[in-house]
Amino acid sequence: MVFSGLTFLFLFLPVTLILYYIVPFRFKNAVLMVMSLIFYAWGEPIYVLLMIYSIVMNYAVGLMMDRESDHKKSILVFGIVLNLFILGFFKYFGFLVDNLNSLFGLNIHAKKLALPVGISFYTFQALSYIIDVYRGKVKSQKNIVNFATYITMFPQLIAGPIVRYGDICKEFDKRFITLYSFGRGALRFVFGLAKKVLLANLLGEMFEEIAAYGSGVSTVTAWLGAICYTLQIYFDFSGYSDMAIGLGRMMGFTICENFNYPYVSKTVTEFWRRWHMSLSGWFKEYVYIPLGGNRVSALKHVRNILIVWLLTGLWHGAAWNFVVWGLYYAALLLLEKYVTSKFKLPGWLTYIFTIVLVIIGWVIFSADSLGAAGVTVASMFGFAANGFVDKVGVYYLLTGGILIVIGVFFSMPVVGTIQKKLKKSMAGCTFLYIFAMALFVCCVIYLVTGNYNPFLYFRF
Amino acid sequence: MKKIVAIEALLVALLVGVMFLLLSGANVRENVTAEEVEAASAQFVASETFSAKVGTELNAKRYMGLNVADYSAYVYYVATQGMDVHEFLWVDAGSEEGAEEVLAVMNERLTSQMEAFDEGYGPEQMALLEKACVFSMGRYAIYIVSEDSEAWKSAITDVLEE
Repeated sequence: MVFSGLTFLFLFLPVTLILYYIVPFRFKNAVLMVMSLIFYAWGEPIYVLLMIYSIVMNYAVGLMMDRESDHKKSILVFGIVLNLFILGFFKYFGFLVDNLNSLFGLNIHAKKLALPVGISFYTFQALSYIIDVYRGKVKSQKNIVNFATYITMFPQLIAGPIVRYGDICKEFDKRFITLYSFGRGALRFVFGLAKKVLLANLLGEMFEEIAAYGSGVSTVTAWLGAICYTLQIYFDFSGYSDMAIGLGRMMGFTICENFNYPYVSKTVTEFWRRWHMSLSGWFKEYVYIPLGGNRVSALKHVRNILIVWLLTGLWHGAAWNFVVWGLYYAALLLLEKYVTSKFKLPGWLTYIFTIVLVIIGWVIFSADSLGAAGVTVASMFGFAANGFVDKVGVYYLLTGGILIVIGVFFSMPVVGTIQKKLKKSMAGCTFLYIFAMALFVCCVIYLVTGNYNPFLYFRF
Repeated sequence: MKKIVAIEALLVALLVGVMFLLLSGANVRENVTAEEVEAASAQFVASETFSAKVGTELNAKRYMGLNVADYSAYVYYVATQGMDVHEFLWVDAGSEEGAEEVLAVMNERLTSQMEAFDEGYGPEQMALLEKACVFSMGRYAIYIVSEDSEAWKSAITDVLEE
């Protein structure tokens, strides 16, 4: 089930909210847990077993660490190994076998396993819990319903944000559910839905059409395709995060922000402080800093950056283009740290450099293979099969140019500033709610008539 | 310490059990024949609501864009009239990778059919196409457009599973 589906919008969500609001507070977590399991089982009836196991195992590990403080470390290691084994097996086993087969000419047959949706997200949440319990940052959760609610909470279950246990644990026992927070949450949800349905889907359709031309495109067409994907992935993922944050708020939870207008960044470092903040924060807290962060020798710092970005790439998927994408960012961050930071360049120039590098990054990320990514990047920089501009490029410029301009506008902070100003007055709020209702109607019309509705981050 | 080891052993055993359940379920048979698929499909083909005939290699090439002669076995039923969308194709592609390729072709067929009957041009056909089941299981790829798509899929799945 996806948030931008009619089943979710007109069946699952209303039923869940009604049940959630009519039961007394002490049963709200249980209602949320049961509905979240139904939400997950809707698309993953078999893999819900794996999730239930993950809940039981991590709950037990947390309790054991609390009670057996002398053996905390070995229990933590046990928990980490089991979590990583599950993630590794279901996500990377096929990739590993394929590479072993091609490297050594073997013929190992591995059963193709469907990737359990959201496994990377909920495993990282579980890991943050057991590590924080080990560090003494949080107490272990004694109530298994509360813990299961943390792991399964449907708003952020399958595409994040990755909520750290310490950020949300108090809300399992006490949270404020008001009409005001419900309204603000609903507003956020609808804006997220509109980002996904009205922008990401349309940009995605354009990108798919351009991608279908393969390598036989012009420089202009290659750029158009890359820009479409750059905007699509932002509106798709940030739209989903907005919906998750909005749904959480409607139920009294404060889910962390995940995006902060990443495409205005003037450095790659800044970009990663603004893009998928919950993931970069997770890696910083649980991998980068434990390795020594940047308070080590330059050589060790390079090692730390390489490890973190190799893992970040692999987290996104079991394919070589994700590995290269991760290492590409490692190289850029190291270049920034040790070379380009020494030069003082004008802001507009660093902005252009950054956005071009980010767009190239998305080409690597979205390509079917490294070869295809190389061809697209070459096309973007003048080595195109169809010259500088072709009919396809002109067609998409004329028909999709406006959509790209709208996309660029809505990816800028000015949108947030306008919203904030409007929220300050009664008339502004009324306008926002009417605007949201109109957007919701437009989304429903699109969903009833349109076919293209994928979520890019579901496969991670 | 013994208590911890016992709980950890229990958790490992539980994981083994869960993985066994997940991995042992729904293994796909390697030697399914066209006759078995035809037998499982008989009641759906005979249904009054399914207006299709046995499709030839040429039909499959023309409508589905697939050279079925390249595959070891196939079963194909194609609509009797041009404005009809009833269709069934089962292909033994020989490998999971092959089945994925055939599946991509089948998805293209479904998309092009939907585009042909979209925007109110063929509401009945669109309703049928929206019920379509297009999927792969192991080395087999299946395309079903019928009033009984779900039931037909279930019957075929029963044949393909061990």
